[in-house]
Amino acid sequence: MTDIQAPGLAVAPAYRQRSPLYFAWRRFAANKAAVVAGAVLLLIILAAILAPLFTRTGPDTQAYLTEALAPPSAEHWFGIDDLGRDFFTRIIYGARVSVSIGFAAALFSVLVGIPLGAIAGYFGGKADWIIMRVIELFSVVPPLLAAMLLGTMTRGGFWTIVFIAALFGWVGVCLLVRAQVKAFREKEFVRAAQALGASPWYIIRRHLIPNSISPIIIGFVLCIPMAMMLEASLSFLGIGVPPPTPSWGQMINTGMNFMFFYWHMAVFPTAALAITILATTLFGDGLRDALDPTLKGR
Amino acid sequence: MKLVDIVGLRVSFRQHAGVVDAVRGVSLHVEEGESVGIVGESGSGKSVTCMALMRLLGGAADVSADSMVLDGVNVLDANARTMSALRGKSAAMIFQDPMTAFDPVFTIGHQIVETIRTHRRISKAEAREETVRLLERVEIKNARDVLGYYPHQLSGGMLQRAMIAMALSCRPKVLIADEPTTALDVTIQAQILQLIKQLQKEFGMALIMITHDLGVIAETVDRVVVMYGGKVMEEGPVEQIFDNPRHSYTQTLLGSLKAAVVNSPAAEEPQSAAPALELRDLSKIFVLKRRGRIFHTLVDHQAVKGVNLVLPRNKIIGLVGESGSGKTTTGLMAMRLIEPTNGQVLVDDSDISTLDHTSLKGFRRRMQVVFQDSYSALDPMMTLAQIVAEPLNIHGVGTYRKQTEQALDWLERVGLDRNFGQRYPHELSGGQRQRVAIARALILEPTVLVADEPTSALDVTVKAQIIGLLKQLQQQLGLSMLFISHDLSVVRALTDEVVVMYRGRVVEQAPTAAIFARPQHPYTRSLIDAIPVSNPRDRRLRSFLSAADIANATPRLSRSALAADADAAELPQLVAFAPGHLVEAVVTQ
Amino acid sequence: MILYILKRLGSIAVTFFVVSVAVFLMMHAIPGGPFDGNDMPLSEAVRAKLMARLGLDQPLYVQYLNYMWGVLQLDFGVPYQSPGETVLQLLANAWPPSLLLGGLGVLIGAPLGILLGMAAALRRNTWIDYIASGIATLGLTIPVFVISMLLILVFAVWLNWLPASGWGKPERWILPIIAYAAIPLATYARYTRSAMLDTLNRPFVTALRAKGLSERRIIFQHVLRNSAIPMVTVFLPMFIGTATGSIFVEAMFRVPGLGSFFVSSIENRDYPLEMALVLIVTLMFCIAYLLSDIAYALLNPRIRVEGRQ
Repeated sequence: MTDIQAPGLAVAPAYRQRSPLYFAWRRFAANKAAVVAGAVLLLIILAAILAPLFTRTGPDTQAYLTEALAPPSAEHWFGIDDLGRDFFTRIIYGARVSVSIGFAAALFSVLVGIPLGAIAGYFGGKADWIIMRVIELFSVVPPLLAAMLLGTMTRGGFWTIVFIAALFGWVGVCLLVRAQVKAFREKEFVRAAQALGASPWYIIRRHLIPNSISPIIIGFVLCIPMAMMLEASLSFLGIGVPPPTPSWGQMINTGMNFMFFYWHMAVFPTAALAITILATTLFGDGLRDALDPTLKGR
Repeated sequence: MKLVDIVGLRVSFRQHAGVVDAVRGVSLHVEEGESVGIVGESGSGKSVTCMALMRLLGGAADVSADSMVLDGVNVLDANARTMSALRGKSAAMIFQDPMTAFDPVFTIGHQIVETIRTHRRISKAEAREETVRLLERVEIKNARDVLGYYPHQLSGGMLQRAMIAMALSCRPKVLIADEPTTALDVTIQAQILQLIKQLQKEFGMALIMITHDLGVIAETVDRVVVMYGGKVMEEGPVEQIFDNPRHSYTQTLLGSLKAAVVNSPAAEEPQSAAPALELRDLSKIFVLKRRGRIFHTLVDHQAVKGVNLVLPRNKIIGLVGESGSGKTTTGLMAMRLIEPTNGQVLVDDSDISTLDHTSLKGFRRRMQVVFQDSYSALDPMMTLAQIVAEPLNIHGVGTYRKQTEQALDWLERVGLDRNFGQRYPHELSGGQRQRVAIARALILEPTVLVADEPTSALDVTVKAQIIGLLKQLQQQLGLSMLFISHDLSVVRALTDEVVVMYRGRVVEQAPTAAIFARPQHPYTRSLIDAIPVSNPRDRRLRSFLSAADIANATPRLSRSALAADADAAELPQLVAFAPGHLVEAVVTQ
Repeated sequence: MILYILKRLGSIAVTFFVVSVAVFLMMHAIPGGPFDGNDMPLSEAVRAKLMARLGLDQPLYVQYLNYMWGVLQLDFGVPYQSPGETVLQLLANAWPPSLLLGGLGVLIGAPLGILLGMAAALRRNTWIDYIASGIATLGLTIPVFVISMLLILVFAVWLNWLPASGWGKPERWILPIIAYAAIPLATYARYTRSAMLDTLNRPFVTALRAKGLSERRIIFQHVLRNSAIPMVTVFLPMFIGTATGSIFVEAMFRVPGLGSFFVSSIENRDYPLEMALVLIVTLMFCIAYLLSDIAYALLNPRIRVEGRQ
């Protein structure tokens, strides 16, 4: 990597363009756990979207009342629940709730977190101080207690949970973006743009946000399991998604009462939740390590 | 007996993309008491060779050699215990950046005592006494206090002295110095080199000096090993290498040392035109927080004190001084990237120091800046074409297609191929990145260019090319350039006039030839004296001035000796010593 | 330093005030009061009298001020459900189980996590590292009630070794303590590993090796000491977080701790109890963060010892 030769000679004739994201992809692909997790996550998302295609009944159809609480069989892979519904169908439809809440909450977190993080990081001073105090507020209130208060206040529901998850999710995105913007605003290419007379908004839009793409993606992906966990927790406590909408948290709560005699009622929703959250987290960790090698293992 | 004997050393690193060969068959030997320099640019494998000798390379390195002997021990198959005994006692190391080479949570004293007690069975009290003696030996005056200091409480120069004391604490047979002065200021660098040389003689140890700087080699060693691309290019006594280099790479290296740029004075223009840039009484006060026991106190730190400077058209002025002298702050204030506390900045005779963002934008086209760190100077997410076209984009010049076309033209103009336009900065070498930064700065064809240490992060051979490019473009475009640098040999080769800054003040200003021939201010003299020699025959013992010495030695000039009139006063003031030669002096009757 | 502490105390006061107002308002925005339930029909007159006695007929800000004045004297009011006791007494009864189980969980989980993290960092990219990192990831990602459920299923239902739930005999504590220990263990394993790898990659470690220190001394004296700074600072918040009880662990194992109380207070719309719980937990977190910041400053010579010579 030296240019000892006369300038202009150091040209490779056939050249393939490699953007920084290409290398991130290479690092990601080398992380086997993350690739597998990504595949599992994709499978779960596909199952959620295409649920009607491979289930015979709707999630709320009590088609097998006579066989209620039957254990898994070739006919009903995950058995039948206490109200005579095919449990496999319930679990698959449960993925819909979990996945859509996860993505919706992550989307809102990012939408709130990016501008606030960029403002706090770029302008510093008072704006930063105010935003940081607000974040501090969120850090001392235990999220679950607050979520439960809000949950009872509004009696649960899909959008309430998205709202609560985003309320606590934006903090992480905001801090990541803020740190990145803060580090990059001191870089000399930002100075150079300032020296060219570029406005702060130009610099934020053209330089700082594109360079924050890694923390944004990371923040987005790591928000998803957080929101899923929150949904499951609230539903478990009976203030989440109201029945009969199938939700894993709810099913675990019901399953707990049947656990000693009908194990399938507890095991399948627990496993579904654990696998989904684990896959999302591993996928997110892999993305983070690939996109930002300096953050590895934090 | 050979103290160090390396035969056929190969080191490769397993990396993500595959295997990188860092050292490819290097043989090297050092006799007792001998001083050997290993010179080469970054990536030439010079540090890796020595790290391999100490077995300090991590698990990602594959090391193999026909034989590698240090002080009679075969390093290749010594066990961990033998290696520990060897390190520090047979061979000690000092590192490039002393700030990161000390453990931040223990005191200096603790760390040196610990080293002594690892290798010698003596009591803690004895070790402490020994430590005080060592610290005094490396010319640290308040040695007893320094024992209790944490690393962050000492300056870089002092810390490097403490590092040397620690290295000497077990009387090593060979001292390996890995770029020991690269992170330090010129004057400090000269002091540290002289200290190392003296101690080497006094302790009768061998020295391996690893550096990219031929000046350091010329100053310190007897025998030179030139490395490039993981191989030894040439080897021989220092005089022979300097007088009669055989390998073409060595010749390139030496050529770049002997100022590749011919300094031809630009054609005299009628000076009636307004200067391109003028700084009037420019000052900057930073408010620092100092933590006290109970309260923070706010302390004013005057980084720049009333600087006056005129940059004529089509000239290059060098702004020199040590780190913290205010030279970069001055440059950034001239660009209005830092707001001046006081004073005016005039571009083409109009004051821009109070303009708001919108009115300033027009002036921004006429003045541009190139920075030191070429790595962070380019947005990693943009292609080179986008980067170079950015100024056109911000100022809305031409269509997108035209902007790109012009950007590619400029890539060619700075010596890169047009097809580099689609590349990203991380794929370029340091020199190539700096070329792109120059293209971006000049695409709007400004009249003023502020270059802030544009070459100090580059390898020697590349440095000469970039200097050449800057000079060439300056002449083509009729640029006026403010060249900020701590490297006096570069300044000498490139500039028409030199301004010396010391502690926020201008202490001397004169045409380049005059200032090198007849420096007046003691600080200027110490700066010039500290320039490493370019030939080993010119080695000499230097005497160094402390800050107090410099303050005491302020020149005193009588009114009659001045070229322009000034009032007599007890306080130093900037006066004309000769036409065009200003110096800070006390004027007497 | 003193000024720093005072400043932090000030910011804690502000945070606390904002949280208390927010919670107070939220609580009052919940539709329906404590006497709106159908199971206890009350006449208008009785209702008004009750409201007046509890001060619920006054303007909101007066209610707030009255309440906070009481809080300053450690009077959190009377819980609606059992007017015979004060909130403080109720909490004093409910906290010990949480403190015991959660506290033991942290005290067991944290050291184990540190050991696991150290082993992983020192044997990087070996099976030890993979297993340790795997445990850490599992512990951090799987929700606590899933872990609890698995513990019950395996040890109580299938193996029948331990009782599934309840409070009282020490053998009933084992499963909840394991459940509580999972998060501190995973957190510390991850934290220790990354902190140690961070330190091991710093240039001064090479310098220490170059001067001939033994690997053991480098790890146990220098690397550990440097990595300890961030590790000490996460301890207190984590301790508070765990020792105030997890809603889920307590629900699964039917432990009568703070967490179960919170759930029942929400179900019963017991304002004073909820307020008291949120405020006390928030305050404990504030103090934990403050103490951590102080510990950080004391451990780090860069902050403790000022000045450059």
